Amino acid sequence: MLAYVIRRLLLMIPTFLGILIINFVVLRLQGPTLVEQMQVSGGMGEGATAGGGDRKVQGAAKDVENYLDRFRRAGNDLPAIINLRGFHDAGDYAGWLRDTIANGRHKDTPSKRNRLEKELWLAGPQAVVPLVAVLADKANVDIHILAAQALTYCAYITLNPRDLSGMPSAELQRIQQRNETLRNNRILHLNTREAGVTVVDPKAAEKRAVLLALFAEPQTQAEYAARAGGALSAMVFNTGFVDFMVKLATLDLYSESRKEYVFTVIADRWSITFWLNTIAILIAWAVSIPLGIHSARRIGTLEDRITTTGLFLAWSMPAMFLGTLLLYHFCTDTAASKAWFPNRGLSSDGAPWMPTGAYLLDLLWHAFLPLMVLSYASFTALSRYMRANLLEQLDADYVRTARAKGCSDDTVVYGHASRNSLITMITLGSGLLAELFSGALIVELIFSIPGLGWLMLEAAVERDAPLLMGSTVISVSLLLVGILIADLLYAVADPRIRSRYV
Amino acid sequence: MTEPLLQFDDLHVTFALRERKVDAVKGVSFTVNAGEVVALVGESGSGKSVSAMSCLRLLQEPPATYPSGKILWKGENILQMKAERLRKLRGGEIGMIFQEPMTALNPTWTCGAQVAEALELHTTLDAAGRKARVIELFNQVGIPQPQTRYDQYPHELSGGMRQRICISIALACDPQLLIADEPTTALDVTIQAQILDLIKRMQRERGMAVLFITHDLGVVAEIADRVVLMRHGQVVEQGPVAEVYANPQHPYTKGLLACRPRLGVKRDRLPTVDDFMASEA
Amino acid sequence: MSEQPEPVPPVQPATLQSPASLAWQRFIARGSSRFGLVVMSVIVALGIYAPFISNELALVWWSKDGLSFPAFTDLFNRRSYEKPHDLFFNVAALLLPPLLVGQWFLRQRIRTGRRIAGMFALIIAVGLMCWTPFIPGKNGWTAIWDHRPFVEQNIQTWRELPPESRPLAVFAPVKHRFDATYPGAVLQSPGTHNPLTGGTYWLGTDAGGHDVLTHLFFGARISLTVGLVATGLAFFIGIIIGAVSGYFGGWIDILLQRMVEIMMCFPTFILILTVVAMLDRDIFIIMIVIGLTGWAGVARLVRGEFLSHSVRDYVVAAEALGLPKWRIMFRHIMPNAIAPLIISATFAIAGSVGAESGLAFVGLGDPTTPSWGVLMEQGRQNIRYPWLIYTPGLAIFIIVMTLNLLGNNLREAIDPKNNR
Repeated sequence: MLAYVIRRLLLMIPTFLGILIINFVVLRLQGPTLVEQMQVSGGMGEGATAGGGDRKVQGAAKDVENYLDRFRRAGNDLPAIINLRGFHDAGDYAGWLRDTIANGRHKDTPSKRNRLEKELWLAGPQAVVPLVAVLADKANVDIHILAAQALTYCAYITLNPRDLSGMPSAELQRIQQRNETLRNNRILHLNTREAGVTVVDPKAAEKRAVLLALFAEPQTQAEYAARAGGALSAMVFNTGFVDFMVKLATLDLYSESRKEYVFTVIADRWSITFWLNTIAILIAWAVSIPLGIHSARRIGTLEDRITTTGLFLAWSMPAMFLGTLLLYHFCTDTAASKAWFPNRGLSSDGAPWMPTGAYLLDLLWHAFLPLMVLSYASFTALSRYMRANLLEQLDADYVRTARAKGCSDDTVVYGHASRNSLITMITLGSGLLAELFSGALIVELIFSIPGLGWLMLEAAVERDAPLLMGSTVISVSLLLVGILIADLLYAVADPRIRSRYV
Repeated sequence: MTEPLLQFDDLHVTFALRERKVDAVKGVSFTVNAGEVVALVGESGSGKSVSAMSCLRLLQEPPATYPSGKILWKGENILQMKAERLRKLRGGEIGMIFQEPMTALNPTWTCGAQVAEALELHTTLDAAGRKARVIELFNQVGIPQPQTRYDQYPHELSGGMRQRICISIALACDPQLLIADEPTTALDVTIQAQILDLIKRMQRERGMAVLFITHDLGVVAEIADRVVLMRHGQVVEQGPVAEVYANPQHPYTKGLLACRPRLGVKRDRLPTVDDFMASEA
Repeated sequence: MSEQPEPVPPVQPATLQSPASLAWQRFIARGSSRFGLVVMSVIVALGIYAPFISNELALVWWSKDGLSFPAFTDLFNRRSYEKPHDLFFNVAALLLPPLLVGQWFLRQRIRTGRRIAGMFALIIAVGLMCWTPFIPGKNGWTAIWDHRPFVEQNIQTWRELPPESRPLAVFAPVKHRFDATYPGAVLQSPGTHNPLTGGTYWLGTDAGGHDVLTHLFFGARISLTVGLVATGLAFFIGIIIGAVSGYFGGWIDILLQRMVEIMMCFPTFILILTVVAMLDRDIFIIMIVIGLTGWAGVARLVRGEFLSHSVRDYVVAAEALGLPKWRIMFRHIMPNAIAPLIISATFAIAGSVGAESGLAFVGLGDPTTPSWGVLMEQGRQNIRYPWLIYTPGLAIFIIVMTLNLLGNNLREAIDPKNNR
């Protein structure tokens, strides 16, 4: 038995990994490039207007830093699978910088822009040493401005909320001061809207000198080299996927739009989904098994025909239709009558101050309709399966043997046939678990219940990748746990499985 | 002459299906007396299994109907028995074993429990008594290591073993008639011989009547006292085995007996039943 | 003692019957199958001929300038089709009568299987051609239709003319276009009069001001397209993966089985949600994504069938003859495995329709299409307008129920359990 459990657990690991990979790949499909976002916010180069003065320019520079922070916290600055940045030297960077300014303007093709973005601005500490070399080399006069610009972004260190509380304050101050210096000395391209001419920052040369001085200290270079890590280890470990896995394992995912750690947000909501789904499963099984048996025993009668037709119609009814109908009929106040059921959430406003009994009743009142909608898809399917399966079992040879022994009809149905039906039902039931999670989303949306499904929907709409990843991982884990439990029950019910692993 | 144990009296069985009606048994009459072995022989579709299953009313009643005829068990008409009486009959007075031992047992119950259930239904033994009786039965039917077998599941046993379990279920409550519906067809030849020996032995030891359904004429010769031949739902010939084999009256019987390949007899072509039916019909 | 029974006449079937035709006869014998087929045909017909049922343009316009058929010519006006499936349905509207007539006349000449397969191949070819004008960058096709003049022979101009000079015009029953919004016509209840066209909003209007009844008809196009395309894609992928996995076995099987299990364990709705949120909200992308996430069940089914068949004697015989593997797989084993696939396909189409509506319901649908799910979402947002809930809900319910009914009956017909 234990061997069976361990085997099932081991088989789930590749499944789980596969799901993580799919999730990761899908979420990397996202959104506009950094450069486009920056241009939209007017932060980088081409967008900033000359007339706004220094403060506006500084504000735009801060926006770029915010974007960088978001990207780095989400791990989107790192390449997905392999990180080859450690193998690029000053010459490579010089070449790229030159590519982008052919004819004196940034080339407009998206592919060039993407490379610019990935290799130059998102490269982080790994690009600092080469860029300093480029900046120091007198032969690179034509690209000094760009190199300095890129350097200020690469050398900018992103601070996580956990760093703010965790790091020693001296260290923190030093980093913040350096970020400040970098920001103040960011060389910007200013663009006059009317003339359409790109004017370089008049203080460019000064700023470049300051930057050179800052990075000339071997201590600073060593610090950045340490942050970058060795080229080979960075190749494997400084990648998006590894970063995601580490963040997942240490519960470190951070959601930008909500300014909170992902697992904090989830922790508030997952228990509601969990309990709703569990109770819905229990209701579905408790209703469907007797119903299926009852209708199979009375096959051909009018009662059976009505039940079968009713179950068939209910099975075809989409959950959203039923839910919205119930919401409309029972939960909205019209001029004529007050609603029978509440239409939002799982508790009324005065809930925390109610005595326990009243609180439980209130909870039941709120949860009744959602539970009904959530469970009806499962229980209609399960009833139909149970009925069909029981009819199959009643045709089997061992039932004939049992009857020939003199067993009464009840004994045959309940003692013999049902036990075998349950085996198939458990397998079918575990297949319905995945659907239950999708159904939960719709129910939560209709009845405004703050659960995991709705959280995932919000995260998807907001394109909040960390939150979406985190919540998908949680819901898939719950699903896998459910499937594991179903497999265990299956082993308990079917002796043939047990003896294979004993 | 004593009253026959089981008497088929012009039995008709019709299946009322959705599109059509099928007359499976069209007026079958024969008897089985106490202590004798009667073989019911015929091809697939001749109606022999249907007749046998009708003895215990094991056919599903809505498609199966009995338009006329009776099956009398010690004078009582089985076709009109009430549910309670029928349940006492099944297993208590008549035991039955079937063709497919691989699927005849419930996969989720232990072998011992399945045999014990038969005892629970028809005897007043307590749990310990039932277990003892089951072990005893296992010994009688030749199941080695009965104590271990009691707690094993059917899928852990071979086909021959499973058939022995089925036999012990059928014999658990000392029935007066054993109906065996082609019990050896699905087994290989050596196991077949063992099961046949077992049935013969049980029949002798208990003085049971046996209604043995088969399509194998060799098995009939080995085990039966009397033979009843069926074709297309009707009895074509019946009588003591030696007589029928020596002097077949009906062309069908003649054809069947002539079709058997025989060692030492040289022939170009095996005759078929049709040869006999065409020439003499 | 022996008896002479009367001779039994041998039973000869009148015609030889293939398993497919036997199954079809069992299928069509049931009343509910016939009902289901009729309902399905009605839905398909409504979808295809929607522009003739609800259109502002006249079907026939007979003025002193001559006789014209504005609704027909407008079918190919670029304005009338914004998405590929609209063009396909418009083409189908014209193609369908000749196809059906052709099927009828050729029924003696060509075998049924080939005839039907030929018709489907033609339909698929036309469908693929209809997607070509929409490939970005290729303006050749659209250029032809873009130059057609804007057709002005609609009900509004007709009503504006003084009564004595109105030409003879026959209009469609519902006088609204699916993309037309009338000023002040947002969320009107059923039965409201439309002053501009003189028609009535039989089922009210939605939050965007479109006539709900018209959206009902045009929404059928979307549902049918999503169902067929998504299911087609899922089955294509699933069959290939399942066939390779089941026939070849070994490590290929193990690897592919892990992939199938991953896809089955993933709540696909969440995956669809994620992908659609990351990409555009285009109906085409939704269709493709639903198809790409739904192949796991099919693969498992096909694998089971192929596993059980590939050890049978007829396959061994084919291999002994030296037939190439793909030929064995798809010409010998496949016809045996088709039956459960067809049943599964009907349920898959129902599932795809439900998935697309579900996506639209949670807000990730394509708002530019007259999809039923989008109507339901508006119903949820504006909870006091029940016609926005009932209309699309009943429509989706009917289509899903019909498909489920057909699937059930097919299952019974192919594998009858009632006969003993």
